[in-house]
Amino acid sequence: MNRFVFATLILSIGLSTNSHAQEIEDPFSDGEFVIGSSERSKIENNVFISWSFLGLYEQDTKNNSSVLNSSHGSFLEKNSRLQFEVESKLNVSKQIKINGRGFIQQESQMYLDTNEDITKTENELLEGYLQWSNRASDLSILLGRAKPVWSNGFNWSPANLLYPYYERPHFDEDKLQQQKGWDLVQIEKYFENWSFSALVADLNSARFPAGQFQSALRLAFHSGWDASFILYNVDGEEIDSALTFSSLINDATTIRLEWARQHRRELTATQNDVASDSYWDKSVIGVTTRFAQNWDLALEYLHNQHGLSNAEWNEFYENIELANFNIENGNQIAESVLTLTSSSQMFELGQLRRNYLYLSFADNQDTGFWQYKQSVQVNLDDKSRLHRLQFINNWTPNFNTKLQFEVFEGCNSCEFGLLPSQKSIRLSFYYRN
Amino acid sequence: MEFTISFIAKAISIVLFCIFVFNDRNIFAADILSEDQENTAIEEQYDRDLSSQELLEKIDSVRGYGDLSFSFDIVNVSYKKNSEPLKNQLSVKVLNNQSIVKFESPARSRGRAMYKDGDNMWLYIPGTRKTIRVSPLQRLIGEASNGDVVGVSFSKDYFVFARGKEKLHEKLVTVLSLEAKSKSSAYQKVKFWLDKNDSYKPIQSEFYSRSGKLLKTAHYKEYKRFGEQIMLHKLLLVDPIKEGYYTWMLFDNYKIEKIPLSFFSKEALKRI
Repeated sequence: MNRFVFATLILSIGLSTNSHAQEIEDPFSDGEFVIGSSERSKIENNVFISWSFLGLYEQDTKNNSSVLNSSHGSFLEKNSRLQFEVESKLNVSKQIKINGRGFIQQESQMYLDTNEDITKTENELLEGYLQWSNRASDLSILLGRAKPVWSNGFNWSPANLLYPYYERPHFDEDKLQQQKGWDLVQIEKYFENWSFSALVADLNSARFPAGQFQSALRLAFHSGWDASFILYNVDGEEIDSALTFSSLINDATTIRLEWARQHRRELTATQNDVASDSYWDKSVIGVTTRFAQNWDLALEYLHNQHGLSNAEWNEFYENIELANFNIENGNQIAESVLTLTSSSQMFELGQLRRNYLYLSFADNQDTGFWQYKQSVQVNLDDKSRLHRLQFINNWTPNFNTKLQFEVFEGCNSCEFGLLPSQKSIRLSFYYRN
Repeated sequence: MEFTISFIAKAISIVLFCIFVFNDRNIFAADILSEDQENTAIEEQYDRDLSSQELLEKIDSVRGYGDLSFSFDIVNVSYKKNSEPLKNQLSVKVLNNQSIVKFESPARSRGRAMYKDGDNMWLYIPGTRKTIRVSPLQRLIGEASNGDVVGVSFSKDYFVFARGKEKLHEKLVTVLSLEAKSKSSAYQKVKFWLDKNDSYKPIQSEFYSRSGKLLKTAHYKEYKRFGEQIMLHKLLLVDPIKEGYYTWMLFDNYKIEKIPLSFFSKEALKRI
């Protein structure tokens, strides 16, 4: 009976909606939205140039209980940035394309302790390459600066083996430097459900001797499930490898698995690198599911052997305390300042510990009103947490804003409790033409 | 440490279990469809002019050119009660059951691209350079899902399990009830109302989930000639539950063109 009542109710709603549909005004009747020939030619145009503008203001609150915030350093309290990005695509012929993408920015940084106000201008070519494809478009050769992305992870990307890892410890869409590519030569061959690629790229990092190259081979398969296998090598080192897998497990849920084995540790601990392993594994398992009304839930677990063990972490923390003590007492000052600086820099290299959980909840409805994204990254080894909350508003098709809050929680000797910043607020404006 | 890993493994298992169990349940909606089917069966007076397969090919012909590769543009305008309408524009290339969808507007979506191969779909996001797997059922804009903006092939992907006649808007129409051949199709069941007096062009259709839930109703509002063929020009998708939620789709610039097979690839998305 209940079922019958419910069914009748749904049917009546359906019928009333259908009759309502007859009265719905046609937005296309006045020709406003009709795709004219000029718009069509814009789509097919051989030269495409787009630009975007970003304005950003960020204010951080100092974590006074962090031993990395000793009175000997200076804390970056305010940061404002104006950034102009240009992307161009030129189809020289059906077989040759030239793509370029770069930015120029002016950034002002204000330091709390020293009252320093530094303004700097930067520009960078993020990507700039020439791509040739054969007539059948199943073979392409790319020459120039490009950014291949092999990882299918949401938050962590172990399969992105090319060095340096610009997007670590996490991807920040406002930090365009993270989207910089590598100078490379890449050949790709496409089959029906398979693709094969090989590349040689430069190694622009102080960690490696000048003139060294990195190379990679990638075999990828896509069908009901996706998988890829990557082999990676730096001159004179052992071969690293990575595997990725992703599949839909129902209409709304995707599962992702990634694993990478490297023969070089990601973290370059200056004093405490006691690990004697010959390789380090990093693996991620994650699910994302989309609920009705476009709500997304993502859950990921990262196991990271590159991270510091309990013993290494204790030593790392004790060395920071010792460096502070030495500076206060006028002993080994230069060495101690170096310890504090290199310890702070470790946070930019990746996750410092071994087990992490990531949970995010996002409202992806493109309603023009505030979209909401919330995430928490939990360090399972010391229970410290990074909370991130974002509100995005699309004011017009071209103009949108983002308000972001970050809060770092944890004990004084925990990863997120040790960070110099306790919380931050950032307001970003975007205009895209 | 072992305890932590074990705890996480259990937590993930519970989440996966809940997703499997609860995502597929809608018992009441399943009943609605079966009652509807019964009614259709009672009223069934077969129209023997065209076979069911031919009718499915008729439906396909208003959205494509059979085995030929072709392109078209779509403008979607989505309406929601007490909200400003949202708009996006896409350009689509189709070859058989493969489609590439390029996002042309709004500016914040430009550069995105989707690839559909059968029941599988991927989305390329230019900012992160990532290509992620998405579901054809996931909402694209308003009532339009990812699977609604690509090429369709009802004649290959569905079979007719019931056929009859009904009166709709004072017209006697042919009603077809379709079921997907594959369990992983975006819509498990689809019902079409075809205008017998106008070359069996679709007038209305209803799309149902695997559990039998009515997801959306489509009203075929206008057709237009592109070259030799009459194609669907304006489609209205209506939310069956929420009054005032609907999406207009304008299909335009249909063009038969030679597109290499290798263009249709997940890996090719980043080259578009």
